[in-house]
Amino acid sequence: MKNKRILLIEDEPDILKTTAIFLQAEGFEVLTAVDGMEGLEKARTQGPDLIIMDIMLPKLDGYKLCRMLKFDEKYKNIPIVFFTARAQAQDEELGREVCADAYIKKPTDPKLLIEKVKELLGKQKC
Amino acid sequence: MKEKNKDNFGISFFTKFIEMIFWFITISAAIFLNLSNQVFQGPQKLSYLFLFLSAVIIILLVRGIRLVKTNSRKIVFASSLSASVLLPLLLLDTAAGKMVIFYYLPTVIAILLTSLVMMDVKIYYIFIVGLCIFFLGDAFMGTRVTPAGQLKYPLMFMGTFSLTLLIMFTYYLYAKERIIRARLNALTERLKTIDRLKSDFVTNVSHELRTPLTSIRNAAVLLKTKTGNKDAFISVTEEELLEIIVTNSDRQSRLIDTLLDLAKIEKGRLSMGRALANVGNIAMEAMKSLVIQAHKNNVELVHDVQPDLPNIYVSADQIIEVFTNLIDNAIKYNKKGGKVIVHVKVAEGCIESVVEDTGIGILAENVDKLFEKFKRFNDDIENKDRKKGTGLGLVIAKEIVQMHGGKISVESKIGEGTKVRFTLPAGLRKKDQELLKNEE
Repeated sequence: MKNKRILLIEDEPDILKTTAIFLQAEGFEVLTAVDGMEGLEKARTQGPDLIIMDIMLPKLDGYKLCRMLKFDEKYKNIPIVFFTARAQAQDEELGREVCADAYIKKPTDPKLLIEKVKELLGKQKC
Repeated sequence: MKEKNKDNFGISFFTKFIEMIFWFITISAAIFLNLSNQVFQGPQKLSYLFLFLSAVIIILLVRGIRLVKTNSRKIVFASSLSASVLLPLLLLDTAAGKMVIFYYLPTVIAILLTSLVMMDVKIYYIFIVGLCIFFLGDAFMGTRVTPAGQLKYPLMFMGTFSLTLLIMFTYYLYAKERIIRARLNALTERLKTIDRLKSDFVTNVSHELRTPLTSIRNAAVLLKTKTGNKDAFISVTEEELLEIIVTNSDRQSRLIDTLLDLAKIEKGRLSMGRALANVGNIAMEAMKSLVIQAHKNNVELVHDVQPDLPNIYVSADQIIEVFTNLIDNAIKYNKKGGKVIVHVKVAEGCIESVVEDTGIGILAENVDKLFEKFKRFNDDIENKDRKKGTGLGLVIAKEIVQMHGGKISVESKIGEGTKVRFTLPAGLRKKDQELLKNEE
């Protein structure tokens, strides 16, 4: 799991900070972005191994961002995890429709998020 | 839904076109039959022709206008025009001898009465339908004017005339039903919109409540890990984590307060303990509580409070909330390095306060929507410059100002900024005077 780059897109500074620390504590390299456009740019240029994103992001929302990446040959293999406070069933459904690999509702035990991340990165190896 | 154009509900271009052809054929037939029947001779025949031709032209004209653009004012104009053309023609006929006015009278009265009953259907329509059927019936059944000037109404004619009324009434029912259905559709649409807004509201409130909770939880777990395992690689100090917990719990409790206030307003029982107070001081107090936030957003808070303002009866707790909400918005929607200016002054028997910002501004068409509850949520994730908040601040501010007998308004220019102005009357309303008396 060492040296894996994770892109974290989150507009809420406190959540961004704490989640990044969790990921760093697990030995991941964390890239951060505070809005959808920045996230898209970093996803395209920095080549992350996995992306964790919020849905309600300024400039470009998570669903659109996810769709743009998942329907692009170059980036469709990067696993995407939605980490969001939108907890309704239809939101999750929408998440599946844009081909996100996981949907985790806030607030949650950070360990769950880490586990999911590891699981997705493990799958990717095979 | 444009409720103003009631006539236009559910009528397609095609229907209108068919209707136009229908009227043309009916009236042409009526003219032909009437003329060939030779009820009248010579100049009266001509006046008949003239009457019908003018009716046809008017109908075509009106339908033509309607085809181009439906505008109820034009319909009214066309109807009055046709009435003013038709009526003198009728009188002209009468003047030509033969007391023809009695010949038309029953029709005209019947049409007028039916029109009155059917106020909400186009009177113009009923007038034309009635006239057409009358002439058709007349042509077939042949009402005669005797040489002595007496009228003879055969039984068949009276039957036709009753049929006229029946058809008009059927048309009325049909039109009425169509209007009702259209209104019902509009209402259903409205209810659906409200329902959607409410469900968006719930989604967003739960989102807003979960967000600070996530920060708190993350920080707490980090803190726990850090104290439990000194070797864990956690690049943040305990103080920072505690700070995150404190600010986010504050944010959460503020949100809950706002929601509770809203619920109270909904039930119309926001407590109104009023006392003499200086609005200027209240404004200053609100500004003080927002200094840190302004600093964070790199916005300068400026006050322009008139000295020696008279004290007025207000609920200080509520007015401070109004100021806090308005200034909070002004900071949030401001540019980096922008300004928020709070003016308070005396103006025409009231205290006028203005919260001015140098921010992004609001589109004119959106200004009215500002005070609608749930409004902010409507744009939701589509809104590219989405800002944090419940979108209820202005709703609450408006309720409070109105409860004080004041007014609130917004002026805004895109790119230049927004001014929210509200007034608080200096005098007491009767209700308040009674309340104060009771307290004494």
